[in-house]
Amino acid sequence: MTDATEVALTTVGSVRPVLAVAIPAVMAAALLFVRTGRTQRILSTAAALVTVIVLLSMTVAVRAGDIPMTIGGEIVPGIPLEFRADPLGLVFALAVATIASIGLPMIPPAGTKGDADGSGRVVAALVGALAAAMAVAFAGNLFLLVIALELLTIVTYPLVSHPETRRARWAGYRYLAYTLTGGVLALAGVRTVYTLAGTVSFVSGGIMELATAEPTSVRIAFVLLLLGFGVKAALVPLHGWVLGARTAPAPAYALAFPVIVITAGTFAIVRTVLDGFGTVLVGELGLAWIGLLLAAVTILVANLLAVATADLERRLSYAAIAGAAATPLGAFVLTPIALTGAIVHLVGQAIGIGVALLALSYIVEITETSTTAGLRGMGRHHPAAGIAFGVSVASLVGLPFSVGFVAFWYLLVGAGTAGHIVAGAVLAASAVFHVAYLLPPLRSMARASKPTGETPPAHNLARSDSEFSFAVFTDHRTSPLLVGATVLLLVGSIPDQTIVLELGRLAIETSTGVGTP
Amino acid sequence: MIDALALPVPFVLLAGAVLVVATPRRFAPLAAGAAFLVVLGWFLAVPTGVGPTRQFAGFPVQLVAIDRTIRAAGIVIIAIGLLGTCLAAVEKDDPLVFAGGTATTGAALALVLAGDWLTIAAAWGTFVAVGTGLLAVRAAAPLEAPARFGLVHAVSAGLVMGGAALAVGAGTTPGDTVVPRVGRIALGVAAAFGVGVVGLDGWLRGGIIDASPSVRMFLFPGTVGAGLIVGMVAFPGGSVALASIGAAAALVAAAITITAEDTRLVVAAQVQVHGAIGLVGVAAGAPLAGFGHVLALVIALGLILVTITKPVAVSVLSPRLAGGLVLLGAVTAVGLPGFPAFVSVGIILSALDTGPTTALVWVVLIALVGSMGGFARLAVRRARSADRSGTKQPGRLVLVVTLVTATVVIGTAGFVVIGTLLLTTAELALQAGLAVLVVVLGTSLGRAVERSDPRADIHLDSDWLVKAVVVTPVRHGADRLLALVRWADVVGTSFARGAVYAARRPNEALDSALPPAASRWYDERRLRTPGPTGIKIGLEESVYVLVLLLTAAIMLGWRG
Repeated sequence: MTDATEVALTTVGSVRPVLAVAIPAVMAAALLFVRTGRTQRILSTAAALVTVIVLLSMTVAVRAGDIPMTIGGEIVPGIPLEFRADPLGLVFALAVATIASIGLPMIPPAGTKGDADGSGRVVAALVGALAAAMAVAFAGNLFLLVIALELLTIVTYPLVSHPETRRARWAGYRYLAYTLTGGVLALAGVRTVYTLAGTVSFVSGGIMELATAEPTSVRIAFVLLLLGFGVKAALVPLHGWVLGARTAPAPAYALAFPVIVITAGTFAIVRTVLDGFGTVLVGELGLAWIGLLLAAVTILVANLLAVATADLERRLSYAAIAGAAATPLGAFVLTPIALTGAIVHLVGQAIGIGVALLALSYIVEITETSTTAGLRGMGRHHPAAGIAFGVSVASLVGLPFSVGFVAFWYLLVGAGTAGHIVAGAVLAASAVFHVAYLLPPLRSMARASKPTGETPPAHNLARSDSEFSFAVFTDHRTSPLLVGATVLLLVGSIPDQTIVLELGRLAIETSTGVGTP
Repeated sequence: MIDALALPVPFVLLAGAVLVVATPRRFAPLAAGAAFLVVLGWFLAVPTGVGPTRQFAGFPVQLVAIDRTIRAAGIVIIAIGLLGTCLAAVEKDDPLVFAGGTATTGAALALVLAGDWLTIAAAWGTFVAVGTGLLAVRAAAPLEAPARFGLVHAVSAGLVMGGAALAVGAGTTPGDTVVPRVGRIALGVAAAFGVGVVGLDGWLRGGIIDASPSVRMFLFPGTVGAGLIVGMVAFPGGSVALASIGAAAALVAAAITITAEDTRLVVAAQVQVHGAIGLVGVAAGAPLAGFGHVLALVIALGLILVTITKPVAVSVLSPRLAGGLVLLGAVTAVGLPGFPAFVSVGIILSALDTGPTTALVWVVLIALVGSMGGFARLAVRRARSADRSGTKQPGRLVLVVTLVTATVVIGTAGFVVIGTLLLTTAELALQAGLAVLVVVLGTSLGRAVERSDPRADIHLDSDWLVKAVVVTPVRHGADRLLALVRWADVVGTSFARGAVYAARRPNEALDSALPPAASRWYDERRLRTPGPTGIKIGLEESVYVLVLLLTAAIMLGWRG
């Protein structure tokens, strides 16, 4: 199945990794001073699209065998400020930038319902989150990774407390309490690694000095980092902040927390396993079991909670927690195939849950109800949102011809190869749970509206049941969702021709030195 | 010259499904029928062999691998599609039914032709997805039926995908006998889901039972055929355990079919009986006979479904004709000499009669008697039903004539050509005698049950058994778990409030954690909600089960 391959990626100096961070960061600052909704939308979308273009240019370089890297002095003595656009970082960055390009045009402009004081800080915070996510993706060492994650906390905090109500403020405090505590734990882990190895820079295959360090200390460092990043990844029981963050405006919540923050957390775990400690050391020290257990418990508990929740936005939030945990689950299986699956799943989960939540928030904004019954007929009235929701559900469930299927296949084969039958069973159970709680709203959305009486107000409906017009696909708020749906289908139907699988394979080959199918 | 093996023929049907939706409504049956005929022609003409190997996600995939058994299985699946299309045309169904049926059949064919595990997993997943969609089109119970089908088969799809992944991880291909044991078990359970073994039949009795005749034709035997394929690739050399499960399932389903009062349930249980007998054939090392039996089931089902219409399943033919057609279906399925199942049942019984499965011969024969009894009761009811044949339906009559002709031609040809080649004269004579005995005993049994006094309440409805043994304990256990998890979530998300509250008032905390629907469920059944004592009991039960499983595992390991 697997064979050793020679991966010859060489590091080259480039300003592009910093550009990918700087462009959205500068734009976020600028957006704080923009007052008109239209300009906000244009600037924020442009920031995301330009970031995507920069990322694509770096993808071309990586495919040619170069890893663009920026080094700019030292943050603290002994720890350089280094940004490295390796395949793993690029995959995560592309996923986040893509979903940001889709979601940002959907954010309510300044002065409307979703933006209480008209300052446009929601959009600015989201673009800032994009910048922080780029820093997470390209952080060249553990210290920088922790700092970038903390920046992500800081720029997303205003979203949680944005409504400025007592409840929102408390939710904000709780968010900070959870994530900053996680940050402190992670920082302690970084300090321990530095003490043990004398470096915290990521190296393909892991920091070599850790292999000869005292095992108990290495284990402690790993657990500290896992718990610290686990808060961001919303691993149960560290997930309490996610539901509280729903005080943020719905589309902003969908984009920032289940997508950017949680995915950043899972990415940090994968990065730590691959390039921090290395798969060999993690396996030898028996650390994989801790991660597997945490991920499996998260998947099962979050899915059970999703089944028991009638509110669809809450349900999808739990689905996001459960789905994201499949990435660390695959990473801790430690086989190259499972690791490749974890990376593909990271992309599929980020885009899939992002599109589903954005579509749902759009419809909930119209119907003003977040129940299965409330969605009835909405797929026909808003076909773009309905189709996007259907495709994203298909991907989250793992249906063939969607990216979810490719990821699940890799994860299951990887688990099977390693003899982790329980991990495979947990993944299969997760898919069944997803069907159980996502099929009813999908079916409800596809049905015709109630014939009389309880039809939603006319001004809310784009189309009647029988009418159809391609004009609905040009709506700036819903048509980007179709781009997301297309990405999910394209990567799932022709995975060999897309960069997701290619970068995933490259990332694993670079880190483990072993080829994957 | 075009290499026929290079043509990924299931995609022809998927393209056909798209064409059906795109064409005007009145051309939908023609478009679907044409797609089926093209694919049928391909199956008849294509040589035995393997198509080109392609790459998908870095894994080698073989969309086409055809041999004698696969060709037969493919033709059976196409027959299902064609018959379903004809029924949909007679019923003037929605074009989406034609499209869904065509796509479902295409997915089943992809499963049949698959030469690698990845394609098998993808085809099963696609079959489940389009099957769920098909059920959702104008379903009588719009939310429940597709949700049940989708949910139950999400489990089977997970099992197929998991089993296939394990097989790939072990470096095997379909047909290898060295697939890891856990993988084989997963695939075997998925096959049992497919044929609707009692207990794993939520998709059938709770899902398809209310669907229109055409949807039932597409999905009943289509799912059974898919299950048989998975059983065949998981156990290429056969399996005593799977044969035993199939025989037992046939017996239980036969008990349902002869005792159930609901005619929809009778028809569903008949599918279960004969699907399980097909599984017995596959597990006994006679897959060709297994698929032959599914063909007999398809024809029998066609003869029954053509007599009724949607949505209330009333008979639309004259009572005598309807009753006669049901009886014809009965002898077709139980295998009277000269009728389609005669040869398949004979070969299956012969295969069972060798080795450790001899006892199963009697189990299958008793199941056939029960099936015949169920058919006989159904025929009597159809013959006694009110005459609703006032509307002239020439299309329906043409379909009846076609089905009757197919029954006679396939039955006679099978008897003359296949039966005399594969079975000895003594076996033929024995099989003929047994078949006649089955028909006589079954008919007598059916008439006796039908004449019994309904006030005596002797009719066995197996539902109570399933509810008592499976549904209630599972539901109770799941709710206990859910209550515990929700409680933990309350503690986790608002630690101070949740922990203090839960510590002071554990019963209230757990009761409030139970979802409203679950509370209602307990109230209606006057059951105690799972409080702390309930959880304690639940944990104890779990420990017992764990000990039991561990003991079984140790015993198996020790044996191995």
